[in-house]
Amino acid sequence: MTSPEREPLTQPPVIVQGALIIPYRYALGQTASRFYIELRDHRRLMATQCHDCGKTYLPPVSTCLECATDDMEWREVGSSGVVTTYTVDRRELSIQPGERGAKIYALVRLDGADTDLFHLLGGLSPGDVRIGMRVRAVFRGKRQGNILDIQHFTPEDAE
Amino acid sequence: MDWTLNVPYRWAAGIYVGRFLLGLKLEGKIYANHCPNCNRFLLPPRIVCGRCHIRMSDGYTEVGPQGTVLAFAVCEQSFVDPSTGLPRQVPYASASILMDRAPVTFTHFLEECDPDRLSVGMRVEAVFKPRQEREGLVTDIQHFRTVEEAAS
Repeated sequence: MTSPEREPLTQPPVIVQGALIIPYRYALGQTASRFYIELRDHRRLMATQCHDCGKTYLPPVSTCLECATDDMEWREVGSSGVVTTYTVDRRELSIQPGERGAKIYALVRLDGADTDLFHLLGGLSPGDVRIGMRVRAVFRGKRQGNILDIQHFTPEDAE
Repeated sequence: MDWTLNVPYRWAAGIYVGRFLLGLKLEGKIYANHCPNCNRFLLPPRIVCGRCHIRMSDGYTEVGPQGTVLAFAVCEQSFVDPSTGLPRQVPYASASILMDRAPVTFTHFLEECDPDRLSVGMRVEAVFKPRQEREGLVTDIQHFRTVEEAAS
């Protein structure tokens, strides 16, 4: 098999640019709606607690994953907690939330909750993150009723 | 919950599709290429014939700018156009067009979108955007307009 001659490039490569822009909307349902409304309007983090086993879910669920009961009660949890685990994402993609640069994603166990919230850490460099460190939520000034109403979690002793 | 997913992308068109896109942008011409084995033409041109798995012939063949409508469809139902995120203006018509000068079809929009004024076999012609508005995209051709046959 002969290797065919490549046609010499007479022009710089042609790059096609475009975007997929997909607006969407959906109803969150009763439980998640309340969670986001409380977050947006009162900067409160509302969890649900199972009446049978006492497990407190944040984000809230309408049915206990252990007991399968929907006998749940609303309960506010703290806006501070502990980093359960984390990962660092150094690849920049424009669809990522927040500022440019490395992202630190973490699971945060808020005070009073028995489950973890997935969110961003900010105000520290990746090398300074420790599992078990105390962090607090930094709320956005202009909140829109989504999870980025919390800008990120930052070390509790930071300014 | 209202949200907009915005996913920008870029891709290298490569030599063959690149030549096609530059033909649109710089020359206002539509280029196809030819398979030396099965004799078909490909539009846009590509490096290898997908049927014969061999390199296409050297060079490009200019086709059009006129052609004959082989099939058409008129869309009346608006939907979100993912290239803009906004509702697509309706009605619009698209057609498979058998290009002049080489037996190859090209799918594009038609200027005429009244189904009563469209027919299979009608003659159409590519309308390019003004040169300074062309971006090296297939939409550098604005649409195909109806060619009014001179009554003889």
